[in-house]
Amino acid sequence: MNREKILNTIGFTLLGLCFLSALYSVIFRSVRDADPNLITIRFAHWQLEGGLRGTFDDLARQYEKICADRGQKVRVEQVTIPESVFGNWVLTQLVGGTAPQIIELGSMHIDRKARFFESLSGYVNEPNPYNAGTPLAGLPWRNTFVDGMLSTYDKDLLDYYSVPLSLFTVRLFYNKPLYEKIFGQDAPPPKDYRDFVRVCLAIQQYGQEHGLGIVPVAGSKYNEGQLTGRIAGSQTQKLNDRINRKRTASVDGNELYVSYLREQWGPRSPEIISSLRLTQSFYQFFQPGFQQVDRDSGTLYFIQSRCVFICTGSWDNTSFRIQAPFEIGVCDLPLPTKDDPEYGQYMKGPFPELSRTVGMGFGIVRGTPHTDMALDFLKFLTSYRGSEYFTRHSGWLPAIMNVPVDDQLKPFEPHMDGYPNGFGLALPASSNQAVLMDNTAYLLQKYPDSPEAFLEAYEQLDAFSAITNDLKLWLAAARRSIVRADTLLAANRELARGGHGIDSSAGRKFYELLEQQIQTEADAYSYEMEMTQIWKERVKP
Amino acid sequence: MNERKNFWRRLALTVTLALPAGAVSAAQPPAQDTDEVWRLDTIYAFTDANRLVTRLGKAGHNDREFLFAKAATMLNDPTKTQGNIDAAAAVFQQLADADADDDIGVSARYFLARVLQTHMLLQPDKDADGAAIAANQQQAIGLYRALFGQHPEHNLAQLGYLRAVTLELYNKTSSEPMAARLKRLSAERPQFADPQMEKNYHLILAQPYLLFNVSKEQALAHYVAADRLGFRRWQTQCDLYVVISDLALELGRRDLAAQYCVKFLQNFPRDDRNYTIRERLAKLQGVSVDQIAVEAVITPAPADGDAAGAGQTSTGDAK
Repeated sequence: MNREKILNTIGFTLLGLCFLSALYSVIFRSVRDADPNLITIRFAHWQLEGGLRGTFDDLARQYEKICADRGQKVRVEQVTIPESVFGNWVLTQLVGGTAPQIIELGSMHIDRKARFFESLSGYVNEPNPYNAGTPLAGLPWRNTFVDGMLSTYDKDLLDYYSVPLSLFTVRLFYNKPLYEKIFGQDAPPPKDYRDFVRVCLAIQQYGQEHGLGIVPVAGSKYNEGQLTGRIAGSQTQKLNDRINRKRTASVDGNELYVSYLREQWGPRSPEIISSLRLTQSFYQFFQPGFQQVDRDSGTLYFIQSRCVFICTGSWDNTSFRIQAPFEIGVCDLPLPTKDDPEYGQYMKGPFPELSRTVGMGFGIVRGTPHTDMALDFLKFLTSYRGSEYFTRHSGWLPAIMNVPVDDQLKPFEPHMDGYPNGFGLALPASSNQAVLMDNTAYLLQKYPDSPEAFLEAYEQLDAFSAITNDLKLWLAAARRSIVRADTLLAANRELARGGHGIDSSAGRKFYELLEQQIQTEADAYSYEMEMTQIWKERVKP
Repeated sequence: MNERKNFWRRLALTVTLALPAGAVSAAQPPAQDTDEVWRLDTIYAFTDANRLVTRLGKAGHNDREFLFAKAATMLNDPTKTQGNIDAAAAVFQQLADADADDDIGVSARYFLARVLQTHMLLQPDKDADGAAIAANQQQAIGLYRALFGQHPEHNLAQLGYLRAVTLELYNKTSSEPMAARLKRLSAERPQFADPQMEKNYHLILAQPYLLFNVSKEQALAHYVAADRLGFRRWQTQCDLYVVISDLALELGRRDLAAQYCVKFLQNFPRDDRNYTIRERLAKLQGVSVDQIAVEAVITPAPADGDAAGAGQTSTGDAK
């Protein structure tokens, strides 16, 4: 009884303390916000990886100090929200009018982006003042980014809505002490696919001989896709060239759909069978049941030294180094070489990485207080010095040109040379066809020696209709986009006519939008015509 | 004294904020109100734009500019109904009937054709709707051509001609072979007052020449002509430099191929196809790909209004 009373007292005391603490925070914040001289900038993101939040806090303090030196009282607050609820949280804040000034933009719908976020086009051609005295001094802001901000240019809205902070690549991480224990001091990591297979077989043998429960590669649904998805694409690089009727050296999703319907390729194409076989060849090296394992469990497998390798992106680099009680090595993905006897014939070579690697873009919420200061803070974050600090302390790659990276980050630097990667049977941007893949892909793992069981099951399904429906979905989306663009064209034309003419922002957008809409409309009519012809030939002979 | 001053200031601010937005906007000159409708449209705020249109309509706005903005905005009313589209078309018709030849009149006539072409709520999959779509498209072609014939200097009339060409090229109900369609349409040799419309004309014709295997030479000629008139989107520019160099190489026009390889490398050194183009250029120049030095060097800022992203960097000399 007495013990229960003590516990209750402790419990209520803790509750009371928590209440007082919360009360203090609310009152303190209200008092602070009431200070008319204090400018508060809040920025929200979902990056909870190790090392990042501390770096952002440091940069926020540095910025506050710069502002204080200028006689401005500024406070920068970081708001971190888990990725799983970030989208809903952002929407609630935007609609409720309580959003922070700066928000990390993921794949946000264009309607929301246009409505709630500031266009940055008016600023990106001006130099970033925080680059004064650095190698980037005087350059237009957008030219200071490694990709010239191409990746954050919204091709539908014809505007910039965010500035990127980092770039990402995918690599193979390995447990260096364990690796050296098996292969000897300073043993080099595997350099290509064949070398990787040799190494993995040796790890399996070592584990058996020494009674260790180690496997070569930590798998999870997430990590497996990072590895095999990219490597399997190598097998369709040459096929890509054959189906690229537009001759852009880059196949878009619709070309894939139409070429499938035209029977230019299919599940029995040698390139697809080869990509399936290559994918299957990795399965033997993951732990059993890896497809049922989530990302965190896969990571734990690696951290606990129960495997040698794990495949993931540079975004996990700092977390691994904080959590893992061992030295970590990093190497390139184990691609087959062009002279590989089994997998070389369909590939062109390694693929380049730069254009699709820039990310972590931050946008400014329209109508929030002190947006000019929020913009200034973003300029500070993306300045040469800001990025240099960010890179050195977060362990993330810089999105800013010429910012030096230390030796630890060098293996993550994107490869510039190579040929655009191909595709897998699970088509990109597809939905109906992806369901067919989801229903049958387990057979690739169940019978890892051959894709035959998978192919038989896949062929029982109506992939032709699924892909037709995917193309129809694209056509419907294209029509919606065309219809909306009509009003936008009228609006921009009238604003240009009434204002500053065709050289104004509205005039520029009119012609850009027009070029885009005409192309989309021609594509839509062209694909529709082809689809109708194919259906006439195949379905109604 | 100061407190009293602050009180009156606060009161004045409160009264100002409490004023209904409609009352404020109704007090503004009509052109600004209409511009606000257009501005809301440009940020996809169609709901707000339609609300503003309704409010301004109730406040008595009925000038031609406002009515045109109203109709164009109604086309994208989030409540997508045939009634809304018909109502928009009725306003366009009213504007065209009042004056078919001023800027608003020509624009309204363009949109009347456009409503027939793309805005009617018809399902392409349904046979009955399919017939209606085909009939509407034929009617739209007639309206576009008539408009271009009467107002060849107006850029929406020129755009109407481009819409007509697109519809005729991809007419699903016609049995005319693509080569014949292209020959017929190319023979029209229209004159465009707006170079951007002319550029789009070349782009529209080039693609079917290529995709339907009609003539690579013609496809190349149209793409090069389009480039000379100036692309507005860097995505188009980037893709078409690749296409032009590839076609030129296949057709034996090595100088042209090399020229477009260099243009691509100068403007898009960080594109994923950089290595492919360097390899192509190396082949053209009979050297190894490593001898094509591509060193990303930042150049001065392009002029404002330049297509976003285009030309922000350049390569070293392609040797």
